[in-house]
Amino acid sequence: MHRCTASAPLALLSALLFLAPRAQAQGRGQGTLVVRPVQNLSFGSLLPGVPTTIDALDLARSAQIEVKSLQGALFEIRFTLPSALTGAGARLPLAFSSSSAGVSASSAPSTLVRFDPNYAARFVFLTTNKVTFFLGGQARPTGRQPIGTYSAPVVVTITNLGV
Amino acid sequence: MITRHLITTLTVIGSTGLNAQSSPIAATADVVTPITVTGTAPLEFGTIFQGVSKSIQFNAAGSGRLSVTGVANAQMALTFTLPATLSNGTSTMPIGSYNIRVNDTNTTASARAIAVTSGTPVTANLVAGALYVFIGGRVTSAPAQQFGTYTAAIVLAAAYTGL
Repeated sequence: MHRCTASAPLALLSALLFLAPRAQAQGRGQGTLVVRPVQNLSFGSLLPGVPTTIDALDLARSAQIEVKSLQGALFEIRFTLPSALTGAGARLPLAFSSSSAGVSASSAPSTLVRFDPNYAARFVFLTTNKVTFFLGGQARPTGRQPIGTYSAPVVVTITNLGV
Repeated sequence: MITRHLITTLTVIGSTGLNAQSSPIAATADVVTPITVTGTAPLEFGTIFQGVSKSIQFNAAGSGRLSVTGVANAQMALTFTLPATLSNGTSTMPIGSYNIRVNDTNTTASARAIAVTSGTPVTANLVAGALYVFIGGRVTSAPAQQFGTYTAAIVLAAAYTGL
């Protein structure tokens, strides 16, 4: 379930990126956008009945997507998040909180700016031309969750809104 | 408010020829072996004379024995339900105390004592994927204890709490 929310502030990227007012996107040119998936969101081994949370900054297990563009480019990121993993003939519920996602120009925890992956967010490349988005989440297996491997697709849509 | 925003966004896209890229990533998890609790031997006090107490040591023939199996290195909560009496119809015989030990191997040698309060979870680890429980206890027969067979149920519930 996603909602477009660009009319309200969604996230600030300190000195690296800056939330763009909607008006800044209008009437400007378009920059090149390169999106590269780096790694999946891996919950690893789950115990039946034990919720497991992956933080966005868990570099070994969070999903990571690299985005390159021109400095000054405005773009929007939107996650299409699954409500559950599937496998072993069963569903394994997932949850994504308001701080499950983050973006940074580096992998240093101090530079991560968190945002809610349930909503679209807009960013501007101010002083960099490459950022990495991080996605964590929580898996909630039931006490009787069948043994097996579970998976689900996460679609990340990046829209270049111009320079 | 949302409608107005969507229209604005469409206007922006239309005026600048913006592009969007969708990048699939995956969320994955493996659900591992659930916990299994097996009662392998009842706590048997045997024949008891009227007015005499009788103890069964945790390592004696007649001690109660259970096993818990699951994922190696997992942490779990063990909740014992320990009856305060044995019953024979309306007659009861108090169980004064329990002596409970656990071990990572199925031997009483070097078994560790754990402090158990009936109904209160205690933390334990499945170091090698199994935990063996040995239960001793003490009953006291009243001088006019009614003849017959006295029984009660000892219940062990185990649940994962983490890896």
